[in-house]
Amino acid sequence: MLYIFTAIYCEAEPLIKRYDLSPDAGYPFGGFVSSDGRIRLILTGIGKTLASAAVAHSCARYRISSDDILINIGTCGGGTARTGAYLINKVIDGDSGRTFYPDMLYSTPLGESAITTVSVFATPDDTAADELMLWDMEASGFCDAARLFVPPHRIVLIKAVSDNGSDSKKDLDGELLNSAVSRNLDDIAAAIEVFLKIGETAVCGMSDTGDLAEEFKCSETMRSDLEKLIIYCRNSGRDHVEIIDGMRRDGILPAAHRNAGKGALNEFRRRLLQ
Amino acid sequence: MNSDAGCYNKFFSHVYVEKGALEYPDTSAILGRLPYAEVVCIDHYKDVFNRSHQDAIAQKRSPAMILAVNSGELVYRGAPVCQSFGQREFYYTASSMNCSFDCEYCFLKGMYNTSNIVCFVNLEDYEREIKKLSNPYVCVSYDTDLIGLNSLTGQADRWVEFASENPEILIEMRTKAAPAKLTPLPNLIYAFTLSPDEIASRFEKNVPPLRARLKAVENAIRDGCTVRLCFDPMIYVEGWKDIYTGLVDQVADRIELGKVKDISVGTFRISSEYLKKMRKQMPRSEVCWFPFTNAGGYASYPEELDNEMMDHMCSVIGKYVDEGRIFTWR
Ligand code: SF4
Repeated sequence: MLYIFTAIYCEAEPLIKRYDLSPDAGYPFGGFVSSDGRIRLILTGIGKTLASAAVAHSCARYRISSDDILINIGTCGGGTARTGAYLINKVIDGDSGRTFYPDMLYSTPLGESAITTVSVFATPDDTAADELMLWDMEASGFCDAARLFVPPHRIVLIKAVSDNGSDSKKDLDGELLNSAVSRNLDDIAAAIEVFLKIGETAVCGMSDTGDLAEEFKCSETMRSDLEKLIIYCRNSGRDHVEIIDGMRRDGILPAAHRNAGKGALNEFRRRLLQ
Repeated sequence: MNSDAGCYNKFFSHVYVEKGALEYPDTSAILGRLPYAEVVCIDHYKDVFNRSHQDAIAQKRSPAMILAVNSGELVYRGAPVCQSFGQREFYYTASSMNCSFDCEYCFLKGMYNTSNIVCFVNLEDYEREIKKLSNPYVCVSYDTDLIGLNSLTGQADRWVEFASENPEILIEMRTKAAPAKLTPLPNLIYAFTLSPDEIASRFEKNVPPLRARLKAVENAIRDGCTVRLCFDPMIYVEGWKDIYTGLVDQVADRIELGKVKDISVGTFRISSEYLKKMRKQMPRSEVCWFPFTNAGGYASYPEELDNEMMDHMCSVIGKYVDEGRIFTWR
């Protein structure tokens, strides 16, 4: 599933419309969800602390696993040469200097850039000082929390350039931010399409040994050994049921007591490798 | 093919370059070979290489290259499970870390948290350290496959140059690649790892097939290179006996084994810690989920099976090569 984290509604609105997301009231972070449940959008509020809190809260609330993808989509400032939407390959926290690198495994139509996250709006002087840098207020907070829950290839940041820095918060009105996302919506959507396509990794946990463990009179250690043997059977294309049935026919199973069970486990291993 | 196949970037679509590595000639050379790569500047290679929670299996589909300067330890003494072939003082070094091939059983999957590849561009520092050692035998392609990466990093060529300038230093370069041409030098051993097709096709992704590797061995011998053959690690699968007998017969059919320096044989064994990690990463792996015996921090096949595999292999090879040239890690 895709979890999109956006700071404010005006940045989120074009996405909400594009994917026909419905409100999904939540406290303290409001959200929207698609009818097929594949996309959930969460409004984090402005700033890295809130971004961090929203990610951590959502990961716990929605039981986000390492198969899910977390995307931070928003607007940013950039030098005059910077236009369009970018996939972020390096995040620098402007206060601590800490860096974060999302894994760039997936091919999207977006260009790439580094971004610096700052606590106050980047000024025209900031953006002019490093023409290639982008500036935002959430990315590092988003990464700080996201990296605790999902691997770096499941962390994505897409930032649309809205301005070249501002000396006053008033310059950055909702319309400006909304239009930065809207203008680049096709590119952003094409990238989202890629992330939706990424097959979820099949989760192959331990097999359920249940009754079989009873038959072997398993201790905890024996149960774990039995589970591993059954996984090996599955992975090597061998039918454990056939071996177990043979052991039942030969009177080895069910085992009368723990010691007999240990012998049975060794016999299972032996027959498996025959 | 997976339906998500087209979603991945090409190999080395991204190159992370340490600030301190920017000025090195090897950095420019490697970047010149990857003109379309996105270059990301980093402070230290560990900022990318050692990140927590990386998914090394996912990264294998699109590994990144990291160019760095190694300011840490450059040469190591050989570990107890490594073979030293009864030679000199055994050392190994890692001028690159990780491999572009993808063998399911590769210990690197347990050793590192990532499939990204680090290439250290200060090779001259390695060379300086090795020159200080007395009578060394140095394996330079242990935590990587330098020949497999050579078209990109040029490091295998650099080690050949070093060997040719330092005839008193014995170098071994191990590979599963199939290079068309190799430089013959008396103090440079090319160690080719050969696996049966049945094993290679199932467990060795992106690795050249056996026939290509045999062609490379043939060429190397023809050109006068010192060649070692490695049937190591032998992997247990149903029918292993016939499979490995077939391999040796096939090799003997193609290669003049009398011209091979020596042959190494070993069964799969791995640090128990690495194995634990690999099982977690590869819940579907046949090789990793084998019910191994654990002893002294290492996982290996149960003794009886292990002995049977080694003895069988040695006896089949013994049909073609005298015993003194067959080495095992036991
Ligand atoms: S070729 Fe060697 S180093 Fe490379 S993946 Fe295979 S086993 Fe590992």
